[in-house]
Amino acid sequence: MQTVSSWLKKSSFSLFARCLVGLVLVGVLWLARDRVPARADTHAQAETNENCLMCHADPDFVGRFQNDELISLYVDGSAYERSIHGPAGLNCVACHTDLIRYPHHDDQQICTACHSEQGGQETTERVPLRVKLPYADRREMVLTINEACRACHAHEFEVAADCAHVRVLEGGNREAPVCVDCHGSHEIVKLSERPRAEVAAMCGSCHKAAYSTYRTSVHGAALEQDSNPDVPSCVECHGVHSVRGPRDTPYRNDSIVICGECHADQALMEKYGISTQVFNTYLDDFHGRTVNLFRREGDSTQSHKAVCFDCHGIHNIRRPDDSLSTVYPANLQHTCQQCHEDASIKFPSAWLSHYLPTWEDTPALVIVNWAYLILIPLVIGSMLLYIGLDINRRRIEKRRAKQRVRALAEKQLEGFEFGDEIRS
Amino acid sequence: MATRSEVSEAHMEEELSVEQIKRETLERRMRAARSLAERMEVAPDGSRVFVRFSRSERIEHIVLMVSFGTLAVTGLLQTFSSLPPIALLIEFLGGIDTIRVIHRLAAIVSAIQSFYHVWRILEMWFVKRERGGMWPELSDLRNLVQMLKFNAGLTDKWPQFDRYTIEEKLEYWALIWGNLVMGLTGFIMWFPLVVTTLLPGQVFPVAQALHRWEAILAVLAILTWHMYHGCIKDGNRSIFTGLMSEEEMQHMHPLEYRRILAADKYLKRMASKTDSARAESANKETGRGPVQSHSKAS
Repeated sequence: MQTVSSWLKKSSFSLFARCLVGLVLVGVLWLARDRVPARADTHAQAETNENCLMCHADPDFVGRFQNDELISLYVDGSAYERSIHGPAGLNCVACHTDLIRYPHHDDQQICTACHSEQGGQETTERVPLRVKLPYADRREMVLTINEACRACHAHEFEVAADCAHVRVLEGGNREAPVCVDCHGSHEIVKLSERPRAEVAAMCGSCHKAAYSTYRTSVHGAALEQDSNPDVPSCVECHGVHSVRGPRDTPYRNDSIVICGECHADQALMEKYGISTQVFNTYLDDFHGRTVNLFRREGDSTQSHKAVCFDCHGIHNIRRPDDSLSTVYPANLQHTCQQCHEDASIKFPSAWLSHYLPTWEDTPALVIVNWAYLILIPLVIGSMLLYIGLDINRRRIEKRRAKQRVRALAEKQLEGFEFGDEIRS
Repeated sequence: MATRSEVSEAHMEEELSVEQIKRETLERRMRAARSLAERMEVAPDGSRVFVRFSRSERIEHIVLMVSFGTLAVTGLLQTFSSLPPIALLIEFLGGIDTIRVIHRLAAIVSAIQSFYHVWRILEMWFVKRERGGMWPELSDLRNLVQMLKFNAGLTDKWPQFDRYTIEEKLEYWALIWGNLVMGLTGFIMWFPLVVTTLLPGQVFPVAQALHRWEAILAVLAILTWHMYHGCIKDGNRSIFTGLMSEEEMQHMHPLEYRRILAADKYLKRMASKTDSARAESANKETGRGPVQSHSKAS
């Protein structure tokens, strides 16, 4: 600056030059005037829901995506007030952080494009409010705005980091559900406050085949018809934010515990007359023991041995006395053949169907168990007794031998007694 | 009505069969005596050492020991896999599937050894025409009672054992029973598909239970009975060295000891008879064959 001012002082056309520089500066500032988002910062604090609803309460307010798709921009303010976020005092801009200024977007036409600053255009014709939206399509808008949830719900995002839905999304499928797809947007209520059948139906809106099968299953039917609080809906088995792919290794290994959580619960199962031995007997058998060991080992390995749903079905699970059940006696051979291709008609009877052996059903097994329960202590006890007697006799023999040797030595020492000298 | 020639023919036949029976009996006696006397070795210093187990018997024992041990460890690990420390150990050893493969390999080795043993017994019965020292006899019961009385301090008379003591015989038959049960039930568990085409499915849980219980019984029996009588009691290493001292033989197997000495004497007597017969025949310069000289000696 020193050099510039000195150059100006030295300049022979100093007055003209000064005027020129001043003009250029004014011109630049004037040009830059429109480029500065003058209202952005100052407006944020003052932005209230009422301000937003000035436009968004209009039921006919629509936006147009870049692909010309239309979307209603109407927001039901009263529904929002009833949602979990409304009473919490969150403003629209708490989530719609990119809308804190007006006009929202640089290339958006503003009201004054049609209306004069003082009032409206002098016309009686009602013109629908229509704006251009800065998103390629509806899905892009959802995915973008969904990121706003992270500000408060960082924990849920963390939990969902390895969630199957997130992985699908990251794999490039934009249809994978994000927060708002399940929870809704302006009318969010706690899912736990909604009927559980609705939750299942919501999953079913994408997972149509699984859902329609589930509705016919013993769990699904009880949920829909009786609103039974004991039966699992989708999330009880698959998880919520951490929902895992059913083909993931840990899911398969852990599935036995998912079923076991309810089916080993004495009080819960008694209500329905279901045996709680199902879990124990499974873990005690070849399949269960193997899967349980693989489960302990963690994520790295997967067991191909049957887990609960391999035999009982997944979404189609039914009572074992339902003729459509995969474990209905007449269907068992076919079910076993899923793994044991050559299974004969007698093969399924090699399995005690989760029941503890009883005298009525399996007398031979009861006899074997009792026989060995008696035989083992008897045999091993007799052996130990025999060994004990043997050890004892050997000890006695050893002592006797020692005594014999001592006696012999003493005898040879006769006449060498120490006391003799005292007496004599 | 028999003609003269027919009568003489019958007489000749009878004579021949008598000769044959004599020859065969003597051969059998010699063979038995030789197999007994072979078991005694006289060291250069004059002390006697007895061969208790042949090389093949010792190898059989080692194979059995290794396969049984492997089966026991890998089997019990599976049985008690629900206990957390066992589950850790299984993981450390390469996982449940590896352990199952090892268990089945050991089962194959054990089965081969069992079949070899059966083959050897059949050979003993039908080729060597011997009953074998393990065959149960009434004297075993007497010995057991005598042993118990002795150990209980009711008598000072030690039972007179032959080739095997009562403890060894009980051990052997327990092992035969155990091998049969474990082999059969193990086969059922290994090939459930094959088994259920032939037998009702109910045999499977029974086989499972038998396999598990019998394994526990067998392992406990080996740890108590076999370890005490085989290793601890006398520090007897003959199953590995094959050899037993004269003192041990006299104490543990007095009947067998006496039989071995008797067989040795018998062979010596027979040898001297044969020698004198040979000398006699050499003096007379007749062309008599050795078979006839044998029958003469008997």
